[in-house]
Amino acid sequence: MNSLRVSTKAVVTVSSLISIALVVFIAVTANFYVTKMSENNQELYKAYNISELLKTFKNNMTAFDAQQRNYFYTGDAAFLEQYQQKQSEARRGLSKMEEYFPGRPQEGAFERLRRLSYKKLLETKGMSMSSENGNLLPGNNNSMDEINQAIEELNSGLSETTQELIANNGEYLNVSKKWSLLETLLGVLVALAGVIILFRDINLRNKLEAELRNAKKQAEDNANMKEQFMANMSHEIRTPMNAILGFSDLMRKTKLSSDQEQYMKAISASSSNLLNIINDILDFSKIEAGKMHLEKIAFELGDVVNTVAVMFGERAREKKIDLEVHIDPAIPPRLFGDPTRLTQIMVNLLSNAVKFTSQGMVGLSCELKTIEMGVAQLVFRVKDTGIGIPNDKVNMIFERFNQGNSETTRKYGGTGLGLAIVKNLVELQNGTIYVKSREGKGTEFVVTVSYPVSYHEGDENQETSREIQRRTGDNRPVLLVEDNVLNQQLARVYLEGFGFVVDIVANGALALEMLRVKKFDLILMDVQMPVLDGYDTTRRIRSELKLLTPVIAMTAHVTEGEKEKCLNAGMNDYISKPFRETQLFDVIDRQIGNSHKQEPESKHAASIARLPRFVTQMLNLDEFYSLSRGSADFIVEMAELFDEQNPVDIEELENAVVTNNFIAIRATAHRMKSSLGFMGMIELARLMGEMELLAEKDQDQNKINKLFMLIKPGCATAREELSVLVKRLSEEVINGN
Amino acid sequence: MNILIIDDDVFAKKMLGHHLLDMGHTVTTVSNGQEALLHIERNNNMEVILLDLFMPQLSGPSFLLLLSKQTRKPLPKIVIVSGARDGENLLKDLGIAYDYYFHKPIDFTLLNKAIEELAKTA
Repeated sequence: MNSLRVSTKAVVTVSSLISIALVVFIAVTANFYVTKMSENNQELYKAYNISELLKTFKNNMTAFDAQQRNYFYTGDAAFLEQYQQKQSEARRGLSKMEEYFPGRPQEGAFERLRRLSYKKLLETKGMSMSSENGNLLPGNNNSMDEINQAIEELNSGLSETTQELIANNGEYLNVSKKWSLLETLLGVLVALAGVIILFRDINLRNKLEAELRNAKKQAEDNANMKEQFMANMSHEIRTPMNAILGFSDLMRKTKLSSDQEQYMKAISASSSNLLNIINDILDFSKIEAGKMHLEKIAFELGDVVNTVAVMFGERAREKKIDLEVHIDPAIPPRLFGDPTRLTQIMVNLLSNAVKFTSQGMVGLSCELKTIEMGVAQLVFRVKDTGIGIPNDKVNMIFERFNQGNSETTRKYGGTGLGLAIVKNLVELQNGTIYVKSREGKGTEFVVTVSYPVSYHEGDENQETSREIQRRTGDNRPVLLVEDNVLNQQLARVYLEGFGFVVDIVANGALALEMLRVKKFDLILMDVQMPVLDGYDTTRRIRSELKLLTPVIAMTAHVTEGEKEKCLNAGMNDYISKPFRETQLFDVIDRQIGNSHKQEPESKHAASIARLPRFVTQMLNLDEFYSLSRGSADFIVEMAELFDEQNPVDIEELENAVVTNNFIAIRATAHRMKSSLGFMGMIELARLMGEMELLAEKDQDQNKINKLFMLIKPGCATAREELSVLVKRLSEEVINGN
Repeated sequence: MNILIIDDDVFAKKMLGHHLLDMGHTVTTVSNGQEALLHIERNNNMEVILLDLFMPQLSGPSFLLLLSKQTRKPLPKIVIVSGARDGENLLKDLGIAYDYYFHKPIDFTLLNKAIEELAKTA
C-alpha cells in the first residue's frame, strides 16, 4: 500500500512538473510570435505611410516642375509664388521620408532620389532674384524624368516590402494559432490527467478507510463479544459454584465420618480455588478493557486486615509457618477508598507468600508513612522466607502469565495472573509496588497507597452486629424470589438460620401476586429470572404496589454498572453470587438497620426511595436527599443555585489564597463550609473547616495552598455530580416515574 | 410558628427555609442583621429567630444587642445556627442570652425537637 502511494505521488509530481514546463514553453513561443506579428504590423504601417508620402512628394515635384516652367515661360509672379510653395512642400516631404530609409533595402534608391530632388530644387534657387536678368535657363526635363524613375523604383521596392510583410503576418498568425491550440490541448490533457489521478487517489483512500473502518468494527465487535462472553461465562459458572460452595459449607456442618470430612474439605478447597481463578481471569479482562472501576466508600483498615489474617491463619497453620500481622496504631481507623480491591491486593500477595514458603514466616505489616491534608499514605509490606525470585526474573514477575520460572507453574500451580492484577490494582489507586527478593532467602513486596481519611461516624462494630443476628430474624417474613432450585434451597437454609420465616416464589410475576396478599419485611430478588426479571419486578413493586419493602438483589452479573442498575430499578442493596452466609447476613443487617435509623424521615422515605442512586465522590446522596426531604424540584433548585454560586465562592477563595489574605480566607472558608454542609458535601465541608482553621491559627501559606488544590477540583467534581443528578431527575420526569 | 431565618449563606437560608416550610411553619429569610432589624420593625410578630453568628453588615451578636434595646415586647425565641467553633463562649463573654445553639452542619431532627419545645413554652 505504501509503495503504491509513493509511486502515485512521484508520478503526479513529475508529470505536473513536465506539464508546467511545456505550458511555459508554449506560452513563451506563442508570445514570441505575437510580438513578432505586432512588430511586423508596425513595419507595414510605416511602409504604407512612406508610400503615401512618396505619392505626395511626386505630386509636389511634378507641380513644382510645372510652375517652374510656367514662371520661366511667362515670368508671371503668380507662378513664382506657387512655385516657391511647392518647392518648400517638396523639401518638407523629402525630410519627412529621410528617417525611414536608412538601413532598409531602398536606402540606395532613396539616396539617389534625394540627390536628384535637391539638385532639381537647388537648380532654381535664387531664381526670383535673378528673374529680371532673364539669364536663367529653364530646368532640364531630363532631371524630372530621372526623379520620376527613382520614385518608381522606390514605389516598387516599397510595394515588395509591403507584400512581404503581409505574407509574414499571415505566417506568424498561423504559427501562433497553432501554438495556442497546442497549449489549450495540453492544458486540457494535464487537467484530465490530474482529475484521473485525483479520483484514483480518492478511490484508493476511500477503500483504505473502508478497510480500516471494517477492521475497527471487527475489533470492537470482538471486544464486545469477549466482554459478553465473559459476562455470560461468569454467570453460568457462578450460579452452579454458588450451589457447590453453599452446600459444601452446609454439609460440613452436618455429622460426617472423618473420611467424608476430608472429601468435603477437598471439595470446598477446590471450589474456592476454581472461583478464585475465574475471578482472576474476569478481573484481568476487566482491567485490560479499562473497565475496572474503583469504589470510594468509607472502610476500616482493621476489618480488611483481620479478614485477610483469618483467611491465611488457617493455611499458615497447615503449612506450619508463622503468620505475623502488624498494624501501625497511628493509622486512622476509617479510610476512604475501595476495601474490596485492597483485600484483593493483600490476598494475592499473601497467597503467593504462603504458597512459596515451606518454613519460617509470612508477615503482613501496615505502616503510616505520612498524613497530610486529610490524606494518609500507607505502606503495606508482605514478607516471606520462601524460595525467593531469581535476580534476572524480578522485573518480569509483574507481567501477565509470568512466574519465577516455568517449573514454578508445574510445582506450585496458578495462572500467573495474580501479580499482574495486583500491579494494575495498585496503579489504579495511584499507588506503587516494588519487590525485594533473594533467591532461597525470601521475598518482600512493598505497596504504597494513599487513602483520604474518613471522618464519618463508624457503624456499630462486629460484636453488636452479631448480637442483632438473633434479633434480626425474629420470625419476620421474608420473600425469596429465585428460579434456581438449588439456590432456593441454599438461601432458605441461610435465611431460616437467621431466624426468618421464608416464602419462596420462582419468578417476578408470582412475587407480585404474593406481595398483593401478604406483607413482608424483606425481599431477596434474583435479577435473572424467566417471565418477569428482578429489575422489572422491583420497578412494579415500587410503582404499582407502592411498597417500600427493602429489596436486596442477588446477582451473578459482575459487569460494570450492575450495582447502579439494581439501585436504579429501586432496589436497596445487592449481593453477588456466590455468597457466603456472613455476606448475606451483612447485607440484610444493613437494610434492616437502615430502615430503623431513617425513622424520623419516614414521611419522606417514599419520595427519597424514588430518587436516582449512583456512585458519587463528593456529593453524599443520602445526606443531600434527606436535607432536601425528597423533593426533586427543590433538589434541582439547589443544584442550580450551587452551580451559580460555587464558582463565585471558589474564585473569591482563590483570590484570598493568592494574596495571602488570611482574614478573607477565613471568612470565605467559613461561609463555604456552611454551604457545602447544606449541600450534603460532607468531605468538602470538612476540608473547608480545615482551611478556616489554618487561616485562623497556623497561617501556613504552603498548607493553605495545598489544601486549596484539593478543594478546587473537589468542588468541580461536586458540580459535575450535581449536573448528573439533575439530568437523571429530568430523565425520570420524562419517563413518567 | 412565625420563623425568621438570618443567614448570609444562600444555601443555609434555602435549606433551612425549605425544611421549616415543610414542617408547616411560616418562614421569612434575610441575609444579615441589618435587614433583620428592618423586617422586625415592620412585622413584629416573629416567634422564633434562627440566627447565624458571622455575617457581613450586622453580625449575629450585634443584632441581638440592638434587638434587645429596640423592642419593648418580649423577645422572640433565639436559636443560633452557626459554624463557628467557639460561638458559645463568645456569646457568654458578651452576656447575650439565647435559647438553643446548633452547630453546622445542623441535625434537622434535633432542630425540629427544639422548635417543638419552643412552641410549648410560647
